[in-house]
Amino acid sequence: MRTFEDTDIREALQRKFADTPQVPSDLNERLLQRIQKEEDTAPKHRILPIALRWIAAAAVLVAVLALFTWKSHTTKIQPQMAKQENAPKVIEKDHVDKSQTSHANFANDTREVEQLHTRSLETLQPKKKNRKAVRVEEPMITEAEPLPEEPETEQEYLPTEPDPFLLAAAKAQDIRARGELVYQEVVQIMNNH
Amino acid sequence: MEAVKSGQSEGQSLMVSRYGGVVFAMIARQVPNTMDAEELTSDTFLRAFRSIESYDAKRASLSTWLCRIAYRLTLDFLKRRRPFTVSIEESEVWQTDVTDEQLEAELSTGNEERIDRLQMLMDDLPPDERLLLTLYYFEERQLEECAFIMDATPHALANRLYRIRKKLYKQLKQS
Repeated sequence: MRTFEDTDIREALQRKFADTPQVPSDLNERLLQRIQKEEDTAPKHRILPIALRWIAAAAVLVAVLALFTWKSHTTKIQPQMAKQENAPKVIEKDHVDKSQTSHANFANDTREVEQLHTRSLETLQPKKKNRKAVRVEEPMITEAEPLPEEPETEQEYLPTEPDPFLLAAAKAQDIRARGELVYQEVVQIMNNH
Repeated sequence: MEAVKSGQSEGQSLMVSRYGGVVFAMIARQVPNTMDAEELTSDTFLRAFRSIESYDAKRASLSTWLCRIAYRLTLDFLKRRRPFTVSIEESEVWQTDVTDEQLEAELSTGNEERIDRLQMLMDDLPPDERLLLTLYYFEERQLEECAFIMDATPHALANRLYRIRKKLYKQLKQS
């Protein structure tokens, strides 16, 4: 690489630095004193930050571990919770589907109406409670014991005259209305008797 | 070197007494305040003692390595004191092409007036450019050595030197 002469620049620099402060005679002593002083104080300053760094690192590690364990715990529990949550929904959905079927389907589904009827007769509980039980708690309906005098199978049950409960159920648009109508009919019949 | 590496004060004092003057002089050329220059010199040695393990004798002499540390500290100090911004007029200077030979001829006239003017112009240069001129022209260091001190490649430094010379030449012409 070639060297640039540029004598003007060299001369300008020579003149510029002519009045630069000269190296003091006691510079070395003063430098050594200052360096010694700095080195004595430096470790004291450094110990705390290093300790703090270790503490901070440990805290972060603990936090990460805690987060990791918490996450793994929740991922284990979630599927179980989801199962529990989904179970009643399925029943409810089935129930809703049933409620949306046609009159013919209602007529065919005599067992359900019978059960509803028997339960209504058996319990005769306040209106609200009954409605709630019919709508939401499907297992309660299925678990309800039929009255001993009621026929259990389709073959055994042979209606000789139009069933008022079946007619009432056929008129209802959904299971709630059906339940209400059935209940009203039952109450009426009971009052008449 | 071994004594310095093992942290012995004898080695450290020997190093300071041998190179303290060189480092101080280099810093004092850029930082006129003696107290500031002394502080920067002691900072240079402190940093050198702490990072003595990173010194590689194959790459540069101990003096050059110390100058490299001093250069960084001085540059940081000067930038903190006077942040440099490039003006638009200054950037327009690069638009005209001038050859190295032309520049050398223009900057080697021996004209007193020009030399005085150059002296003033150099005060207005950014610290890193002024330091490069000092290392190259005043301390008469090789471009490779300057590149080690300034942590750049010799080629990049040659380009930078060309730009500074061109800038000075343009400013001389304008005045």
